[in-house]
Amino acid sequence: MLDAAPYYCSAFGIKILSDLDLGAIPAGEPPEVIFRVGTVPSALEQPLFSGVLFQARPGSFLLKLDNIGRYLVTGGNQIDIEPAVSAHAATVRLFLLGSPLAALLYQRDLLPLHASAVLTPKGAVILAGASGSGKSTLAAALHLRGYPVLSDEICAVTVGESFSVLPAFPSLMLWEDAVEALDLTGQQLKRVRPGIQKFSLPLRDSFYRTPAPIHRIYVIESSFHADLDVTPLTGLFKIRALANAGYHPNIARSMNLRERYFAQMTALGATVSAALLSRPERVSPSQVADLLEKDFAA
Amino acid sequence: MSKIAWLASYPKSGNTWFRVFLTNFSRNTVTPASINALNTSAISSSRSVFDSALSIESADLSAEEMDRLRPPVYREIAHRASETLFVKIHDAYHSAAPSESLIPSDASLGVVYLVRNPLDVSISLADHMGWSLDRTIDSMNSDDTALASNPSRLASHLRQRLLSWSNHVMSWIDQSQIPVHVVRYEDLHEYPCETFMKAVKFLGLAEDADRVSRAVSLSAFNVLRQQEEQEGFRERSPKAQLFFRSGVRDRWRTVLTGEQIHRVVRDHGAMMRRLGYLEP
Repeated sequence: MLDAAPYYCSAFGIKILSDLDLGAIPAGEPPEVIFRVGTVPSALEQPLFSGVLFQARPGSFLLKLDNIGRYLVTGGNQIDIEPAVSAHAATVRLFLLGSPLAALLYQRDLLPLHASAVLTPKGAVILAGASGSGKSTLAAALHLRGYPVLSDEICAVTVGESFSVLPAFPSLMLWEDAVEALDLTGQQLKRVRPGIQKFSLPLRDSFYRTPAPIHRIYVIESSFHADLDVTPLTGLFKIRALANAGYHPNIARSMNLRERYFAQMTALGATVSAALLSRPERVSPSQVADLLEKDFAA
Repeated sequence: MSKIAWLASYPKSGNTWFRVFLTNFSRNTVTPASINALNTSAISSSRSVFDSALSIESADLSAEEMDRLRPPVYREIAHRASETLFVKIHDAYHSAAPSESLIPSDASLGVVYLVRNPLDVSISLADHMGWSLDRTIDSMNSDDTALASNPSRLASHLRQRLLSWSNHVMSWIDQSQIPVHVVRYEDLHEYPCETFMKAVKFLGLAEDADRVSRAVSLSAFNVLRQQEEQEGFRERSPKAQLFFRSGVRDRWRTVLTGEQIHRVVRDHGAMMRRLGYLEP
């Protein structure tokens, strides 16, 4: 197969035919979802929600980014992309693989978490948390200790008879300070966007390509207190922490999927073990990884 | 649909103290509010607020792209609020785009601008940033100075351009788009009840002298210091030992060298005179 458009590939267990190179693992036909470069309207008709950057209604999500592009996600099986004239291909892809991709996952009844995930002997360990909480850095630290990576940034979970993490993309995204802290400077890093000090680390064989049942979810919280610690989450605290761990839950709400989102989170919380990981800013990634390794093996 | 009351200042100029007072004033109880649960927010630069309002990862945008999105986000936040929001802001009042200021006047109720003698600001700021006094004094004279501007890490706050100390003050008190009320940190010390009362009046809150005086006692420096020692303070810089440090004024007389004093006065003399920090 030629390494040229269109690309037959797979992410989150979904076969995709894409005009853009997504950096996903190759897959065969027939595609379930099409990513097509073409024209995208500047507004939705009768949106249920209209925000600063996006509009939505059931089954449709439109993201508009000045000088980058417009993205229209429809029916759980198509994303139309209209790059801005001056936009760099990496930039168009970076934003495609954020909210539009999450909108597609929501449309397909999957539960996208704002999280990274690695595989341990006990099952998938999910590292959830807000931007800047250190999810990817921690996933990279665990990757360097030999744990295969399942996903980074968006972690799609199946909710039903089993709760599993679906494998995403064979790369991790790291800011420059994390690259230095993890001593990855010599690695083959690709800048995710011109002008941004954030890099993509290819995973190759250490990317795990099969869905994996969830062992535990850690919700990472930066703490202004002194101690690094892990506390099991139970009851209402667990539901609340998980409800905040979705990937921009406003996307689900704007498509009228709020009730399903909470039903899925509640089902997840009822079945899967979860813990709060409080970390002070000054603690190194390897100290956090030490604690986690002990905790998820116990 | 509501509006935002901005609590604006250069860093380390009494903004947090003022927010503690406002929280105690609005709670109107006999016990002090927790410094970690102030009901005024830092949403003007908090990344999570922007990520949530925009539903994208704002860290992937450049600082300039982000600046252009700030006015519409403030407008939307004000639009969805049911009552006046009190929001701390350290940015200078500058343009987000050629045609628009960072702070949209149509979403703004007014600005309480807190100002403090730059000689004392330099000492607190040096401690907060982990900088030497000389470096701090240089930064206070540079229009390139900004908070959260390290591009190599994902900061929990957006980049905030400060400009020089003089230009920061000028940008807020000489703008004519939003009504502004200037509060001197030194007056909060010397005449706390009168000074807070004037601010309360400007903000259109209940002009109740007993309530102001109660809130002033609950916001006393030793109360804040004691709370920070017992429970920590979420807004403390990791580089500083304590956020609430000495709470006294005119420390510069014993801390700064003659040469450092000379530089601050050389750089900011005109604005210092205007604010009563130098003899005319």
